[in-house]
Amino acid sequence: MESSSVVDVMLVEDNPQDAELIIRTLRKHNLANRLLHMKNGKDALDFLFGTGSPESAPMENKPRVILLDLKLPKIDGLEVLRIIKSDERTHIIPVVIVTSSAENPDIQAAYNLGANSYVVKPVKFDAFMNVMARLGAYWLQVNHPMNNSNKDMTKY
Amino acid sequence: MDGKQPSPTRIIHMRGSIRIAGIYLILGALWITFSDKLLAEIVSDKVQFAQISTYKGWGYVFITAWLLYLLIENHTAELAYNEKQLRLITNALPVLISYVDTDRRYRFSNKSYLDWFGEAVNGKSMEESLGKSAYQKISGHVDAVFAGRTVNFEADIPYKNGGTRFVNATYVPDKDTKGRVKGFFALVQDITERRQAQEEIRLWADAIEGCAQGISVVDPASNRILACNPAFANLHDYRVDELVGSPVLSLYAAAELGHVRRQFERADQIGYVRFEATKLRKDGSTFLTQKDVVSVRGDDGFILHRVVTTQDITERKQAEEEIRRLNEELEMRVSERTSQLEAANKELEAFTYSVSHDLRAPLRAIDGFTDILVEEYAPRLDEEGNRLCTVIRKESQRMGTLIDDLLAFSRLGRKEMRTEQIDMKELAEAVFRELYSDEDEKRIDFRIGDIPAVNGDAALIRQVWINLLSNAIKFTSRKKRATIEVGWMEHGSENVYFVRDDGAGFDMEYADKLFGVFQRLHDDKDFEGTGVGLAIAQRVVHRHGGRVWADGREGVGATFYFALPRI
Repeated sequence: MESSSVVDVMLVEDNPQDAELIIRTLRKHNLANRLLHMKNGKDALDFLFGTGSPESAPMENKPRVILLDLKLPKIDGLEVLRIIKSDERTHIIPVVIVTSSAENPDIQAAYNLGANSYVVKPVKFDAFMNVMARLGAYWLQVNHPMNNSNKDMTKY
Repeated sequence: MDGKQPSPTRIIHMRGSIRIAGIYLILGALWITFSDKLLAEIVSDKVQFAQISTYKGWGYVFITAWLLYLLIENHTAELAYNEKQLRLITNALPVLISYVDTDRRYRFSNKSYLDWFGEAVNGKSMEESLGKSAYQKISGHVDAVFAGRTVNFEADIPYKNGGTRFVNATYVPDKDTKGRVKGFFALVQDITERRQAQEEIRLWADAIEGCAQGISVVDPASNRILACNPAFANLHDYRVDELVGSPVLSLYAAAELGHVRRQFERADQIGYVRFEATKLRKDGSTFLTQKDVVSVRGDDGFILHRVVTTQDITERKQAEEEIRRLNEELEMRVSERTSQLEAANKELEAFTYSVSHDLRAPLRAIDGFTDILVEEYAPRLDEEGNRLCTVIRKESQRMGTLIDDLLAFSRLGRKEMRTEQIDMKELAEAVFRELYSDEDEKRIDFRIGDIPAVNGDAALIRQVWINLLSNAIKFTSRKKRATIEVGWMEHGSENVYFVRDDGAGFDMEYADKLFGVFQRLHDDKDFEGTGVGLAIAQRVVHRHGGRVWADGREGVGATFYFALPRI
C-alpha cells in the first residue's frame, strides 16, 4: 500500500519468492511502476472495497489487471475471484489467475467464476520470465481497458 | 349238472311227465277194461262185434301214434328253441364258451371262438384248433377236468393264431348220472388287456409310492385327503393310513388358512396353481413347502379331485436367504471398499493438488534466484561458481519436469474415458507428423501398414502413439538413417499394434522394467527423458482392457506392442 494513487497491477501472491520473481520480471520490463502486492485475499478485497484500514484505496482506483494466485491464506483465490466477479463495482476488472496448478478442476472452477485468463507458472525460470513479461505487456500495453474516466466524471 | 341232485326245473319237468304218463295209463286202462264191455252192450252180433273191435283197436293205435307224434314234435321244437336261446346267450358273452367231449373234440363253441380263431372249431380236436404249443400248456388242466375236477387257472397261452394271450379259464366236467365224465364245459376269458391295465396301474402306483415328493389327492367337496403317498406322510411325520380321510386344512398353519383356501379356489377355477405355504408336522413344528395344485375335472365338468404335489423348500429358502444375505454383505463390502477407494482417491487428489501447487514454487525459486545470481553477480563468481549455478538450475528444472510428468501420469488414471471408434492409421500418421522435425524427416524412413480401427478414448490412445513414436524417434536419433515401422497383427480377439525401430534398442534382461514409472534403461546424457512415457502408455492400454510388451536387442532396435480388444 505504498500508494493510494492509480494502481496498474494488483498482484495477490502469498509466496514471497514467487512475488519477488514476478515483481523483478515485471520491473525489468518496466511494467511494475504502479504495482500493488497483496499477500493474502483478505487484504486484496479490503483494498478493492475500501473496507480495511482507513487509508485503503477508494473504489475509483480500479487496477487495470489483477494477478491472482489460487492458494492463498485466509480467503483463497477462487473465493476472491468469486467476490470480485459477483460485485458490480468490481466485476469488470480483468482477473488473471497466475498459479502453479495445472489441475483441471481448478481451471474449470476459475473460468466458471469468470476468470479472464488462466496462466500456469512454469517451473523453469527462463520460461517463467518469458510468460510474466508477455502477460504484463499484454494487459498493460496491448489490452484496452474500459475507460475509467467516464465513471470518474460522474463523480464530479 | 350233477345227476344225483336234479335241478328244480328238472323236477318240475319230471312231475309233468309222470302226470301225463299216469293220465295216459288210467285212460288206457279204462279204455281197455270198459270199451269192449260197452261195445258188447251196443253190438250183439258176434261177427259185427269182432269187426268193430278191430276198428277200435286200430283207432286206438292211430290216436296213440298221433299223440306221440304231437308230443315229440312239440318237444323237439322246444329243444330247438332252447338251443337257439342258449346260442344267443352264449354268443352274446365276450367269453369263449365251449363243450369238449372225451375225444377232446369241440362239440359246441360260441361265436367268440369264431372271432378268435377265425374258423369254426366244432368237430375239430383241441390240439388242432389251439395249436401244439398252446395245447401243451393246457393239457394238464384238461387231464384234470376229465379226472372229474373243476379247474380254474390263469396262464399265458401261445395260441396258433392270435399270438400269446393271457387268459382266465374254467373247465367244468360234464358227468352222467353215474358220475362218469362225458366231456367238459370250457369258459375262457382273454384278460391280457386287463392285466396290462393292471400292470400299468401297478407301475403308476409304484411311481407315486416311491416318489420323493409328497403327492396327495384331495376331495374338493370335503377337503379331505382321499389318498397320499409315503413321502407326503413322511413330510408331516404321519403314517399314510393316519392321513387318509383326514381334513387337509388341518395340516396348514392356522395363520395361512385363508390364503390356502383362496389358492384352492383359484386352482378349481383355472386348473392349476403353485403357491408356498407353511405346513404343520404331527408334533406341531412347521416347515415351508411349495404346493402344486391341479384340479381334475370329470367329463361332466365338475371337479373330481385335486392332485397336490408338495415339496419341502425349507432348505431352498434357507439357501436363498443365505444368498440374499451374502449379496447384501457383498454389496455392503463393495460400498465400503468404494468409499474407501473414493477416500483414497480424494487423498490422492489432495496430494497431487498439493504437489501441483507447493512443490513447484520452491523449484521455481531455486531456478529463478540462481538465474538472478548468475546474471547480477556474475563478475563476483569464478568459473566454478558459474558451473555450480548451472548445475543447480539444470537439476531444479529436471525435477520440475519429473513432477509434471508424474502429475500427468496420475491425472491419466483419474480421467474419465470417452469411448469412440478411432481410425488408428490416421491417428498414428498425424501424431508422427507432429513429432518429427525437418531433420527427422530426412533421416527416418517411416512406414505404416493398414492398421485397423479400434474402440477407445481418442485422447488417451493418442498419448500412447505419442509416447511410443517419440521414443522411436528419440532412440534412433544417433543414427544417420533409421527406419520406424508401424504395423499390426491379429491375435485371438485382439488387434496387436506395434512400433518397430532400428535404434538403440535395449537389453531384454530389463524388459520388465521398461514400463515402470521413472524406470530408465539409458543414461540421461545419451537420451533424455524422465521414464514416464511408457508407464503412461501402459496405463492407458490397461484402462482399455489391453496389454503392452516389448521386444528388443541392444544396438539393434526395439519393438513395442500393444494389444486392444477388437471391435
